[in-house]
Amino acid sequence: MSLKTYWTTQTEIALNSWTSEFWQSGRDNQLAIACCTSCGLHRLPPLPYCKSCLCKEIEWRSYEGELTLYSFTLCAHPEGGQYAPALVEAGGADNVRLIGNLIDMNPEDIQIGMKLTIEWLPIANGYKYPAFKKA
Amino acid sequence: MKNVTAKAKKAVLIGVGATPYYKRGGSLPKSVTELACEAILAAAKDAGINIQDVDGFAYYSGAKAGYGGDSSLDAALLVETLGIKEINFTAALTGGGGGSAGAIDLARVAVESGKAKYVVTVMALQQAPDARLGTVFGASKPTPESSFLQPAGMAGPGQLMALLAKRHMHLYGTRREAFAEIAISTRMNAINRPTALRRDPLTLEEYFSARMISDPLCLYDFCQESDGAVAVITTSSERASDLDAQPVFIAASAHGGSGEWGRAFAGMTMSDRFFATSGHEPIAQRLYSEAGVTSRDIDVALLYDHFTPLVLMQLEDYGFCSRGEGGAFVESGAIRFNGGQIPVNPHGGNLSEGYIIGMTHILEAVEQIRGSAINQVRDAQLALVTGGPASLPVSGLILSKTEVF
Repeated sequence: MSLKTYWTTQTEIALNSWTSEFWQSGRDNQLAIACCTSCGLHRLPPLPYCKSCLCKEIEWRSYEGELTLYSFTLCAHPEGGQYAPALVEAGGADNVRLIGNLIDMNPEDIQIGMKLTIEWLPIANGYKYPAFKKA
Repeated sequence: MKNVTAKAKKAVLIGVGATPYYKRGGSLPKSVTELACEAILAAAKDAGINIQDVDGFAYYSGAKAGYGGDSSLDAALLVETLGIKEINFTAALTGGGGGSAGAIDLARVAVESGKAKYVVTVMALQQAPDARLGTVFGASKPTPESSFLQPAGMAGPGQLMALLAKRHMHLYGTRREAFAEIAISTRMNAINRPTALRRDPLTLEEYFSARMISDPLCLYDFCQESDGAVAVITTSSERASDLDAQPVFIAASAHGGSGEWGRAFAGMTMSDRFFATSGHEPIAQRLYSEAGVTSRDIDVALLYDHFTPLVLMQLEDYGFCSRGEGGAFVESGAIRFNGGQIPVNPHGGNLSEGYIIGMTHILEAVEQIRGSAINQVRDAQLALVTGGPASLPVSGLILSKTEVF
């Protein structure tokens, strides 16, 4: 049985000046992660201060490193079938966690620690939300 | 002499009261304020004080009596409703259900600082159709922060906590049988309680054939969705000595927690060290240190049980077993009322008695220490009470039969 996504093309998100770039990059199918310009610590979600050095300034770096499944759950979809919320670690970016749904895999094949690739799928207003497939 | 004065100012719990517990929506057409006042008046009666003696409120308002709609719990309205002539202290902890036990910490601050004489801690919950806790996150408007997880379908606390449970299973080999044992043993404790909403015995077969909501959490891993109110009155030991009601001493109280726990599952950014825990370890250390006791001295544990795996993780955080051994510990029968090494939730908890965001746990702890509980742990001297594993603050209390512990 194939997994659905929870979101639809009608799902809305809210942005602010700190988070906007993450979603703008997603529109171009790019994963960008905020990085502290002072100490280099990655921030996701990008809150206004670096929790390590309290520097505010960030730069956005395109991330193409490993993505690893940290944890997941399988839920009944309101319209039938299943969806799988997942936490995904970006190992090359201070292990910050991305959140999305797993797709294109059998529920019984899902294993914490498995390697994943990202696929951006459309939500409302031209934005996209991350789904994850087997690498 | 100085010591005597200090001792006389020590805060004690002197009164407890509750409404009946109802299934979600079942308390209508009563209003939330009505429920709260019913519980407050019952607590005042139990304490043997006049409602006019109440001069303080200390609660945890983030939880707001239904998480939405017009059902917020406002001290001003409670004061007006009850005709209280003068109020000296009104404060609430930030956060949500994590602060249930911590609200007593706040009441204690009010009493021991001399700011107030009789302080009410109250929670009234009414889950009208438009204010359902189980879907609180999915139903709220997205914020820039929540947009990182809400579209993924983490509609309620259950979906979020399933991720912690799954990680715990992965790290330590924890089995669903352990979660089942928590659900089953808690249900066993509710069977003889007239106040409990779920009193039918629960079997392992029923547990494993139940609807899976958010793997590994099935229907019976979720607490109930209830209505009702519970109130507790805190005062000084000196004032309590003039009253007939049996005071319950506060051996330790704490709220807060590690910054690495932060927003917990509302953000999913907890450090790896804290992820598959209840976030309570720092609170446990503070409580044991203040009371000068260890987990071995605790006679009964009232652990906030919104979801079964978080009970298991609290058992680890409070040192009843080692990290990662919660599953085997629970499966050995260690938390059973009859013969368990640490009886957990002999009142049936949020899972089976009723869910008033942790307040029933404080009520039960008072009854256990007074020796008047329905499922009384023999000669209970020290009771541990915890607030919900949730966003900061998390909280806990150790209540004592005697002033010296």
